[in-house]
Amino acid sequence: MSESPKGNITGLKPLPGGSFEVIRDTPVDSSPRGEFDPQEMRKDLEDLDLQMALNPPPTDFDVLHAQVERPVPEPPSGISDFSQIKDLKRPTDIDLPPSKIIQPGSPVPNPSAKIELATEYTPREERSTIPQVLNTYVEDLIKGGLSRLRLLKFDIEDVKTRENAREIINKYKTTGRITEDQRKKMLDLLEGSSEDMQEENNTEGNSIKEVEADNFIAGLRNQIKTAESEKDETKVLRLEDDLHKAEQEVLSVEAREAEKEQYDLNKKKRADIKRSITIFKKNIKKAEIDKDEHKVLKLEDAVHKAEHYLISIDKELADVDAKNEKIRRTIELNEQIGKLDEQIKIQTEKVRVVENSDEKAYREELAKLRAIEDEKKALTKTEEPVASPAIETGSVDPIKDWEWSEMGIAYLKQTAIENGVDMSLVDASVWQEAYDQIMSINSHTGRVSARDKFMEDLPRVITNNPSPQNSELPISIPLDTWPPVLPPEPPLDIPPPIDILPPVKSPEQINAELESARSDYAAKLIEWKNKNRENKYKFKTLISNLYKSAKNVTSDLGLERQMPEGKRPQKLMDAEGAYMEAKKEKNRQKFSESTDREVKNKKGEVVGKYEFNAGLFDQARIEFDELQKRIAESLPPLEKGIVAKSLEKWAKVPLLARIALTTTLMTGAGMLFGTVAVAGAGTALAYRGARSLSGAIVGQVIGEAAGEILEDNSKRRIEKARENYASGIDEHNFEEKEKELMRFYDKEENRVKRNRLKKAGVMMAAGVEGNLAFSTLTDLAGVSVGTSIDNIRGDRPVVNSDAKAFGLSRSLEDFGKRGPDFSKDINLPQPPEAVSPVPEVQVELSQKGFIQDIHNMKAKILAQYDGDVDKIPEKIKTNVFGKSSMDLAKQYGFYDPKTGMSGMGHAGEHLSVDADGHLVYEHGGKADTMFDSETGKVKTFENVGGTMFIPKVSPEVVSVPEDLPAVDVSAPPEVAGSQPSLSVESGEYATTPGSFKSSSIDLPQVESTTHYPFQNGIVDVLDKQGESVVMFRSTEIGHESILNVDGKPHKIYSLPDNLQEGSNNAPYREAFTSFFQKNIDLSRFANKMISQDFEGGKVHILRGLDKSDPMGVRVLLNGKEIGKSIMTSGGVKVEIDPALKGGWLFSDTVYERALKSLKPIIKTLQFK
Amino acid sequence: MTDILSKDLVKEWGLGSLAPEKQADIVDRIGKMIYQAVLVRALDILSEKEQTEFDLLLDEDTTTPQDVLAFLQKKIPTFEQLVLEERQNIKESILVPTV
Repeated sequence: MSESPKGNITGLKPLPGGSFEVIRDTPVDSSPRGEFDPQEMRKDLEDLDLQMALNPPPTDFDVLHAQVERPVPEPPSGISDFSQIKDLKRPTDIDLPPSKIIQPGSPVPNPSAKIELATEYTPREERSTIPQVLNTYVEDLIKGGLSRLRLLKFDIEDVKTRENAREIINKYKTTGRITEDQRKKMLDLLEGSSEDMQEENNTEGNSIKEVEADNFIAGLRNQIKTAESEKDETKVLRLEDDLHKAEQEVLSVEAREAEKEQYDLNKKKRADIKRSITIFKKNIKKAEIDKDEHKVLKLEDAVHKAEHYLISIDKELADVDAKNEKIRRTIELNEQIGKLDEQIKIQTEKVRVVENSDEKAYREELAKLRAIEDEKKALTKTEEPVASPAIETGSVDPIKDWEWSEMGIAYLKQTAIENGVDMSLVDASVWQEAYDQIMSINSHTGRVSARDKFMEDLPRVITNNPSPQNSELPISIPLDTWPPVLPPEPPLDIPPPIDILPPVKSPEQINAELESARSDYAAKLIEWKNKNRENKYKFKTLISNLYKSAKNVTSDLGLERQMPEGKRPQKLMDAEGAYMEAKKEKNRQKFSESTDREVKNKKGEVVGKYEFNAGLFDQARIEFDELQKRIAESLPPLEKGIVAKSLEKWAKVPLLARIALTTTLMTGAGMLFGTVAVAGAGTALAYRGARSLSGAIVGQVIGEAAGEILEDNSKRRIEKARENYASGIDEHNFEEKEKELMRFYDKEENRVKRNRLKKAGVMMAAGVEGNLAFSTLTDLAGVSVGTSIDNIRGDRPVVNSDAKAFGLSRSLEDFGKRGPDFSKDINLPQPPEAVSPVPEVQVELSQKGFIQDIHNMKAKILAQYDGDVDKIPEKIKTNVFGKSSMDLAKQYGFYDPKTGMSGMGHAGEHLSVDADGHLVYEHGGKADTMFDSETGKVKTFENVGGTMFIPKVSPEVVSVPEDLPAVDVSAPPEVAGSQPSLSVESGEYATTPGSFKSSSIDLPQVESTTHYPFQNGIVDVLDKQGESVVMFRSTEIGHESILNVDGKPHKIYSLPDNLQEGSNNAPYREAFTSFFQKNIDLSRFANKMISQDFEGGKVHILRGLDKSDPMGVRVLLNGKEIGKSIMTSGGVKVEIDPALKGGWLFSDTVYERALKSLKPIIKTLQFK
Repeated sequence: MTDILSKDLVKEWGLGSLAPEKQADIVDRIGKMIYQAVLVRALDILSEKEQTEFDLLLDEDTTTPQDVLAFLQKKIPTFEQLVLEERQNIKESILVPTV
């Protein structure tokens, strides 16, 4: 729906055919000027009608008296009549729709009058059916004075069909603007000129060339018909192909011509509008003189709109001009490049001539050639190709293939043939493509009708260049060979291209980056772990609340729910990625430094997918330890303790058992660790076969160490000895072989200098230790063994580093230090300056048991060397001090943990040690060394005539030397048959059977320690300068406190406040309770006592602690007094210590809860 | 010692070029690295109570590394995957692709 016209109707304008155009009084455009809207412009111009402006419309009166002629405005100077203005067009001529008119018969114009188009808009190309002779006749009438027929002239030109023209002529007669004769004449001219018009069309619409092209196409069609009748399919195909190309060409040429026509039309439009504007302006001046404001406004508006329209046309023309300018520049560029190509050709020939004759000239000519080529490249790079004549890759190059004629016509060059290419072999499409470009250029530049040129060439091109499918010559020449390839370039002094390598980093840079990446990753990992712990706590709380709110579902849910493992944050993964990259960089460096890159077997075959590299492994291990150390530092105590203990367990397991486990971890085969024990057993079966090899390992290690420190001759001897040792070794003779090797090394020792002998002494000690370690492998299948092969080889230092990282006790570290370190194969510790004499120690067996006796013996030995462990002979130090008293007791069969039996000693019998560190059991007047030198095995207590028994617990006081090295902290209660325990007299420390006491040089501030087994752990009571502290898992779980009894203070123990509550502290309360019950007898202070379990601990209700108040009650929670009874009017009431109250607003404290739990008891106070 | 180390293990970890005793040594060290890495990661997953339980288990003298791993395997459903990942991490750190 179009919008209703604005403004009041002021009149009607008569139009040809008897219709009228509505005239309104306020057509002034209210839109802001300067903003061009094509749509608005078109609408406005539709209303405006330039002719109306040039020929002012009649007044209302005029409408009623249409014959009244209006004064004709002055035409431009020099022109007597507007109809004489050449190319003066109606708006419709500039592609504007015609004006709206009112159909005849509308008696009274009104705003709602139906408005419709008088005629259909007729495109210019369709306005060719009206004979020119009619136009000429009308023009003659106008010139004869009937200026009113000017509109008729335009209308006739504008109509689409003769029928419309006839209708218009009749209307002109009806309105009286023409006479009947004139009407008839016009109709005759219209009807009788159809043939003339046809001829006219033939001569105007189709050029001769077009007719030739049409004829050519028609000929092709006829040929196709003929070929079809002859059933020559090949020919039909070829001809159809040619026909298709010809038709396409005609179409494309027509399209280009239409484009050019549009350009010309725009030019004409522009001239028309400019002329109109000039006239408008003149009329404005005239209207101003006449003081016709309405007319002035109207004309000004018309000027304004026309100027806008002019701008839009200018823009279109400018675009085309710019395009043409680009083409022009391209043409110039192509010309330049073409010239350079010619020069290149010539220069190439020059180079070829001197190539093999004159090297100097050759180089000069070659340099010139390169210069020309560079110039061409520069031209090509600086200029952008133009869109229309652009050449696609692989198509014809217009630079080479077309040129300008003297007449300025672009046409295909025939020089391609001269370049050595037979154009007859070239596909016609190549030509066609070239012509496309030529046509484009020509049409844009407007120099010539390229169509003519093409039409001339088309038949020849197609005839001379048949389609490939029809040609006997199979294929067209690839375009990239056109022009022909130059001969191979001679060697130049231009350096070959250098591969761009990444910048090489220095080792320092790599290390710094690795350190940075590691730190970053460790920080983010720790942060994530901490966050994880925090979430874990929240999760636990959540589950706990769930349990509280949903009773009886606990069992369904399970008490312990693990928090699902969350996704790692992106920043952590990024840091991990960066760390991995840094490690790889470092590894690359290491790998490049290493020499063992090949991983082939003896046959030269590649073994495995990956290569093990010692350098990389060492680097990876260092890196691993660094990261683990960082992580360990951030672990909370409980986790740190777990890791430390787990690693300790690992270190204690013999090598072969570890390998069985490692195999599972490294291959993932049979990853059921419940069944690993079976694998371990399997490994034990292999032990007999493997032990000889294990001996070989130790032997080799020792040999390598010795070889490092001895002279070359000695090396050869050692190698020979090792060969002898390795040959024929089996499970039966390995001990003997080993001894032979040891003897050999003994001899070797005498051949080196004294300082080297010392190192050799250490080496021998290691050998002996290794020998002993093999003996312990009988417990391979999982029994805890104190010393094993891994203690001899490289693991001990690793354990130490781990122990430091995870907070293992100093004693363990010291233990590690005492042993030799072969972790790096040759890394011998410094031995003592002089070999110490064998100590003469002898301890009499006591009722305290063999463990205590061994302990005593160690103390005596240590005392002989002034408490300095380093002064003790290596063998004794290794064999005696390198193991705990418990382990020694197990090793020598004084104690069997499986049966719980202990060895029975008798008064007067002694225990001592020989020079090799073997225990000697002196009994019945003889001394049995508990070692079989022939078999290399330890003799057990029973082997030397001892008797085993199951001991009973008897509380006795332990008395041990104060300065004994504390390595024995794992005494179980089973061996207490002869174990001492402390007793308390006069309110002193209460002790109980099953404990023993020791002192430590590792913790000098601790004067003595008493150990109490608890759930396979140890509760320690440390005596520090007269004060006792109870420790469990490195946590203080008890300290001394005072219980006033009848006015006298008595020392007891109480649990620290921070451990009184919290489920996580329950184990500490349990340990404390165990210790408390064993050591503190509260019942002896009170006349009555009630005990009750409370949250892992104990609550005690004591009555009669004071003689003055025999019925008074006091309540203790884990040794801490938390409440007492008071007399009230209602009777006895137990009140909490006010200091322990939590307050009204807070939940009950543990002390309040404890008292509340006692309510039923306190009410009755029924003491049993 | 070659009887102890499986051929698959030697092949997988590219230890074929090493002397048997060196192989055992390396395997032992790698095993410990995996063991430690698995432990530290497992602690992130165990609940507080399970950690306490784990700690008590470690207090027992007779507890072995096998028991440790069995405990973790029992408590952590994805334990095998965890071991696999740690093994792969270490493998990537110490091995160089040759083919």
